[in-house]
Amino acid sequence: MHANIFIAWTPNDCRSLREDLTQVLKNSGMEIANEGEFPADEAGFKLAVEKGIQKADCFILPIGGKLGESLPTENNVSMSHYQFLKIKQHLAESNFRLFVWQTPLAAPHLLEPKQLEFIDHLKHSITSNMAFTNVPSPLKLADDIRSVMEIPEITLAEVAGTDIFLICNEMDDAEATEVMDMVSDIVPIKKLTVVHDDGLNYDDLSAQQINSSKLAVIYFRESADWALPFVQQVWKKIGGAASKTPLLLIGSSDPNSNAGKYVNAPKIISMIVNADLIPLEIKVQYDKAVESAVKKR
Amino acid sequence: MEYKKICPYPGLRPFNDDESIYFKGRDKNIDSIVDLVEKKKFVMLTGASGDGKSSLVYAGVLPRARAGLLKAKYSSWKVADFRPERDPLGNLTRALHSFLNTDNFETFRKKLSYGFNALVNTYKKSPLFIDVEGKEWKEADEPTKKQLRKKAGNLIIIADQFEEFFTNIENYHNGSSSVESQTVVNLLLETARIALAEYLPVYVILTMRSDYIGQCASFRGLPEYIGFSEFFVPRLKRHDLVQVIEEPAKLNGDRISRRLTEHLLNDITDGYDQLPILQHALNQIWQAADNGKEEMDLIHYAKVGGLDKTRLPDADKIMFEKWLLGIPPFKVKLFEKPSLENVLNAHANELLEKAYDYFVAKHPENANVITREDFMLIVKTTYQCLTKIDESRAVRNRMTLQEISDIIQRPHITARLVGKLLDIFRLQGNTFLKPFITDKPESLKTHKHTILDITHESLIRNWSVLKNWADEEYENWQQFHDFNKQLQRWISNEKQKGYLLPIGPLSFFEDWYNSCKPNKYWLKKYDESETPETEKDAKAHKIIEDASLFLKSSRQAIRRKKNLLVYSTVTVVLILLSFTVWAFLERNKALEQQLIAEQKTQEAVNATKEAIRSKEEALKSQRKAIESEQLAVSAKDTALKAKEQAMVSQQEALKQKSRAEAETRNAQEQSLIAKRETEKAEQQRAISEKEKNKAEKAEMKARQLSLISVSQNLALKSALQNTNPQLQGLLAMQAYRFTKQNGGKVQDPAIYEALRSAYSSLASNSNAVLKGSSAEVRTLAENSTSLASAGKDGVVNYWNVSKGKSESSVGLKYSSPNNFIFISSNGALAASGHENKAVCVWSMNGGKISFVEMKGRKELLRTASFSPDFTTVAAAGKDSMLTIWNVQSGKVIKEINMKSFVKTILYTSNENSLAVITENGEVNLISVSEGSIQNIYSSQTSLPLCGTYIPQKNTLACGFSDGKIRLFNLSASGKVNQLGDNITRVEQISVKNNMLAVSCSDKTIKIYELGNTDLKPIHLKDHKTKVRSLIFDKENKIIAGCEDKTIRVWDTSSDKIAEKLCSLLTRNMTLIEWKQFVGEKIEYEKTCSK
Repeated sequence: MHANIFIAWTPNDCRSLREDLTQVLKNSGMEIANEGEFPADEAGFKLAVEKGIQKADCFILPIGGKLGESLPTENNVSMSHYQFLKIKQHLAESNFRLFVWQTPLAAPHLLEPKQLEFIDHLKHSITSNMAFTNVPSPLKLADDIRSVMEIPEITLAEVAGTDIFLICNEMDDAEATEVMDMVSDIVPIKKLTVVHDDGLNYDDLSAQQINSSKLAVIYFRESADWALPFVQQVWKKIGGAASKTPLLLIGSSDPNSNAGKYVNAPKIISMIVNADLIPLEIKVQYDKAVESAVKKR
Repeated sequence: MEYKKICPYPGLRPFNDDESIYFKGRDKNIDSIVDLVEKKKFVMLTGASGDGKSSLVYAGVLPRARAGLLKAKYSSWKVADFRPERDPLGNLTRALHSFLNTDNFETFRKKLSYGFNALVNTYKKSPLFIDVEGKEWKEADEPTKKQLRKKAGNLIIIADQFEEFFTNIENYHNGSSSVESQTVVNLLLETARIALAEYLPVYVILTMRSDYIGQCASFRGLPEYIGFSEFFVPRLKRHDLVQVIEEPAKLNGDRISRRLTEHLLNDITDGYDQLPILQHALNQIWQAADNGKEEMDLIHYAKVGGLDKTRLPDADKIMFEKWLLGIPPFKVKLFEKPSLENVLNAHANELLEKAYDYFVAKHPENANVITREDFMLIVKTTYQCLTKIDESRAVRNRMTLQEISDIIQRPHITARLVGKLLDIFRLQGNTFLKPFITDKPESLKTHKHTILDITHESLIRNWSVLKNWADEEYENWQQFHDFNKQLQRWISNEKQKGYLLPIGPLSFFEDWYNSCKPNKYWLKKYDESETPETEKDAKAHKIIEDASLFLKSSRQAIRRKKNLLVYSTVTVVLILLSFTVWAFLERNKALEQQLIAEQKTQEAVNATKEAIRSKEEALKSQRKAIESEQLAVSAKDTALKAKEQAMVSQQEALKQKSRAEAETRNAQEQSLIAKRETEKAEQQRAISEKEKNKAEKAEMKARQLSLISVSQNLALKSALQNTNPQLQGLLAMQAYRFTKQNGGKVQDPAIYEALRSAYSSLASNSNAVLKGSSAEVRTLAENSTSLASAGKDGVVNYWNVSKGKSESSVGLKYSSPNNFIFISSNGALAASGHENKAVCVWSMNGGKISFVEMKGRKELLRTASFSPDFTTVAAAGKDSMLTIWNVQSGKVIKEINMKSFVKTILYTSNENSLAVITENGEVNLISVSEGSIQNIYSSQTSLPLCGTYIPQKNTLACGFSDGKIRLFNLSASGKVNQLGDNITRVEQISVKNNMLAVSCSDKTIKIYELGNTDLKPIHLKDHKTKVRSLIFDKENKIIAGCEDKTIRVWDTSSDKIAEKLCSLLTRNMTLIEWKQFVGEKIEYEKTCSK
C-alpha cells in the first residue's frame, strides 16, 4: 500500500525544499495528495487544507526559518499554525500521521523569533501519531515516513476464544494434560504444547490466543529452562504491562531445582507450588483476573 | 512472587536476563538472525561499535532460543560464550568445560587444541547429545528416555567481540594470527560445518566490529564462512528507535510522553555510541521521573542535563527553576551545556563529586586513612589503568585491582581498599565499572584478583574528565617513549657524559617524571611482549632504576656546566640587560601569576580542609539540619571549584612561565637580531650619511668648481679691462675671492697674473726694480736686514728692498780681475774667482772686509759654494779639480778630480756633501770625507746647467739645457722626478719653502709650486734681460739679478697682491657689472669688504 502524503503550505523560504521533497517522496513510491500551488485566497487555502486532510493519510508540515503569512479571519494565526491546528483534530485517528519537519532552513541563526516560538509550541504539543523530526534531507525524511507507515504483516492463526489458555513444553505435556483435565471441569481451558522441532511460530500463535483469553498459564515441571524465557517472549508480544490478559507462570515444586524460577515483570504472576495445588491456584488466579477485568470495565 | 519494579532501561551495561524482556527495536533483526542460525548453524554479526551486536545476541537471540523459538532438537540450551581476550583457547575451553567434559581443564584444553572435530566429538560424547541410533537409546525404557531427554541440550557457542583476535598482540601480529587463534577459529568453523552436515543442535555465533572484516582473511576458511552466513547489524531507523524509547516503558507499565520521544530522537546524532548514550539517558530520565512513577517528560530530561531549560514549556520552566534551588551548586553547573551526551557526562561528574562522601559514609573506619586527594588520585589512576589508546582511539583495558593498586603504589592503599573506593561506580543505576553490584551480597565484595572493566567505551568518549585522563595517560606514555629513547641511547653508549640530557630536555623530562611518577608496574602495563611476568617485572624495574640515575647524572652535569657558565653569563647578561628588560618583566608577571596560583592553591587546600572539618563536625552532630549540610556541601563545592580554578590558574601560570621564558629567549634572539639590524642600519646610515656627505661634498665641489671656473673666467675678463683699472682690479679680486673661498689655488697662474696685472695697472710702483748696480748682478744673497748683490766688478751692494734703493756697498778689491763672485746665503761671506786662478773668500761682517786668498790652481775657477756652516768653501773650474778650503785658514782640505769641467758646485746637506755638475752632462755627489764620487745623472743631450739644494726634502733640483727641471731625491739614491713642461734652457734655479723658480734662456722666470705638479707655473715675463742670479727673499718674493744691472723683485703670493690690490680698489662692482661679468645666478657680494 502506498501512503498518500499531503505536503503543507510553506512560506517562500521553503519553496525550493518543498519541491525537492515532493519529488523525493514520489520516487520513494508514495503518492502526493496535493501537487501544485495553493490557492492565493484565504478561503481557497482553507479548503485545500481541508481536502488534503480528508484525502491523505500522512501530513508533512515543513518548518523553515520564517513564520510566514497569517490569516486575518483566524485571529491572525499564521498559515502554518492554522494547518497544524486543523491536522491536530485528526491525529486521534489511528491511521493518520503528522510529520513536522524542522528543515535545515530553521537552523538557529536563520530563525525568526516568532518562528522559534512556534517551533517550541509544536514540540510541546507532540501527541500520538505525531512526529517532530529534524533530519537534514528530504531523502531521510522519506525513508523515515516509509518505515513508519509500513504496516507489518501478521499471520493470523485460527484462534478460538477461551477463558484459560494453558501452554506447556513437550517435556511436561503429560502433567499439563492432567492439570487441564482438572481445570476444564470448572473453567473453559485450551492447551498448547510447544514442540521444539516442529517449526511452528509459537510466539505469534500464543500471543494471539492469549489476547483472546482471560488468563494465560504457562506451566512447567521439567522444563523450567524453557518456561521462563518463553513467558518473557510471549509477554513482550502481548504488550507487557499493557496487556489485558495476565500471565500465570506456574511451576511444580517438584523437582526442587524449580525453586526460585520466577519472572519479574508486570502482569506476570510467578509461582512455584505443589503439583496437586496447581489446578486450584490456576482457578484462583483466573478469578482474580476476571474480577480485575470487571473492575476495569 | 510479587512484581518488583525495575528500570526498563539498563543504561550503559547490557541487558541482563530479567531485563531482556525490555530489549526492543530489533525484532526484525532478531528474526533474521534466528533464521540464519537455524538454517546455517553459523552466523557472523558485524556492525559498528555501539550498534548493539552483543545485545542482539544476549537479549535477542538467546532468549528466543531458550524460549523454544529457535527450532532445535532439544528444549534445553547450553550456552558457551567467551571473549578471545589474550587467551582464546583457554577462554573457549573454560566456557565449554563446565557442561561438556569431565576431564580436567588442561586435558580438555589439550584435546581441543587438536582442532577440527575435537569440539563436536566432545559434544557427542557428552550427556547433551542423544545418539538415537545408539544401543543405550534403543534399549532404554520410556522413563529412561525421558531422563536422557531432560539431560540433553542444544549447544550455542558465542564468540563475542571476535575483534579481540586482532586487537591483542598475542593473537595477531604483523598481519598473521597466532597458532592458538587459528586453532580456535578452526574449531568454531569445523563445529558449525559438521553440525550442519550431521544435523547436530550445535550453533556458532560470532560478533565483531565491522572495522576488522578485512583482517578475517588471516584465518583459513573464515572469509568463506562469513560469506556463507553474515548479518550486518543495521543502524536503527526512526521507527526502530521509537520502539527502543517507548516500548520498554509501555511493557513496564511506565509512561513516556511523545514529545520526549521526539526530542530524544532529534537529539540522537549519527556516529558512535548512539544506543548506549540513549539507553543511559533513558535510565537517568526514568530515575528522575521518580523511578517511573511519573510520566517521563521533558522536565525529567532537563533534570538530567539533556535539555536546556529555555526549551521547556512554561509550566515546566517554573517547576524546573524551583527544583534547581534545591540541588547543590556543583550539580547546577552540570546543566550548563545540556545535550543528550551531557546526560552521561553530568552523571559521571556527579558520581565523581559524591564518591568520596559515599565511601566515607559506607566505610567510616577508613575516613582518616584516605583523604579526598588520595581518593581523587585513586579514581583517576584506576580509570587511566582501565583505558588505553589503540590506534589513536581510547579503548577499554581490563585490569585487576592488584595491578591497579601496584601502579598507585601507596603503602596504605591496598587492592581491597581500591575496590571499596570504586563501589559507587559499580552500583546499579550507575554501572560504569564491571563487575556490577547486584542484589547478591557477594557482588559487593572484591579481592585483589577482581578484574575491573569499564562498562562501555562510550563512557570514555563522553565523560570529559575521563577523556582528559585518558589523553593525559596517553600523553604520559608518549613522553615516556621519548624519554626512554634518550635513556637507551645513554645506556647503549656506556653511559657516557656526552649522552646525558641537555638543560632543556632535562627540565622537560624532570617535570614530566615528577608529575607522572612512573613505576615498574605502570611500565608493565604497556609491556605487550610475550615474556614471562618475572622477566617483565625485572625489565621494568631496571628501566626505572636507570631512568632515575639518568636524570640525576644529567642534573649534576648541568650544575657543573652552569657554574662555569655563571661568570661568563654575568658579562653577557649585563650587555644584554637593556635588551631583555621587558622580557624579564613578562617573566616576572608569569612568576607573579604562578605565585598567585600557588596562593590560590593553598587557599583552596585550606578551604578544602576547612570544608572537610566542617563536614566532620556536621557528621558528628548527626547532620542536625539539612540546611547546614547543604551549606557544607556548598562550601565544599566552592572550595573544590576554587581548587580546580587554582589548578587551572597554576597550569596557566606554568604555561605563562614557559611562554615568558620562550618569549625571553625570543626577546634575546630578537634583541640580538635588533642589535644586528641596528648595527646594520647604523652602517647603512653611516654609509648613507657618507654618501650624503659625499653627495653634498660633490655638490659643494661642483659648486666650488663652478665658481672656480667662474673665477678663471673673471681672471681672463680682468685682463681685458686694462683700460678700466678699477673694474680690472674688481674682476681680478673677485676671481681671487671665488678661488680662495672655494678651495681653489690662488697661486693659479691665471689668478696670480690677473691680480698682478690689475695691481700693476693701479699701483704706480708695482714691481720693485732695484737700480744702481755697477755691473750685471751675478750673485744675490739675503741676510737678516738686507739684500746683498754682487757683480763681476766685485762691488757688493746692500739693498733696502722696500725702499727700492741700495743703502750701502762695499768693493771687494783684489789684484786680479774677478772671474766670478758668489755670496754666501747669509750674505756675510763671498767667494770670488780671479783670472790669476786664485780664489778669495771675503768676510763682510759689519762692513769690515777681510779676505783669504787661496791659490794653487792651474785653470780658471768658475764656481764656488760655501758649506752650510760656512766653515769651508769649495770651488772648481775648467781644470776639473774640485778643491775645498778652510774658510778661516785658506788651507786646502780636499781636492777631488771631477774629470770634467765643473760648471756648478753646491753644498747639500752638510759640509761633507757636495753636488757637482760637470760639462760632460753629469751630476755627481761627492763625499768630502771619503773623496768618493757618486754619479746620479749622466746625459749627452740633456745637459745639467744649474742646481740648488732643497734641504727639507734632501733633494737636488737641477735645470737642464733642454728646459727640463729634474729633482734628485738624495735619500732615495737619486731617484728622479721631472717638473714642468719648460722647453727653454734653464739657466738659474732657486728654491724656498715650497716654491721653485727658474730663469730661462727666453728671459722669463717660472715659479713652480713643489708638490703640485698639476698646477701650471707662474710665468713672469715682464722683463727684457737675462737673469744672472735668482733667489727668494724671506717674504717669498722672487728676486732676480739681471744682465742689465738691475735687480727685479716680484711678489709671488697672490694673497699679498690681493691684499694690496684691495686697498687700491675704491668701489665694488655694481649689480649690472656683477650680472655682466659674474652672472645672475650667483648671489651678489662685495668684492672687497671695505
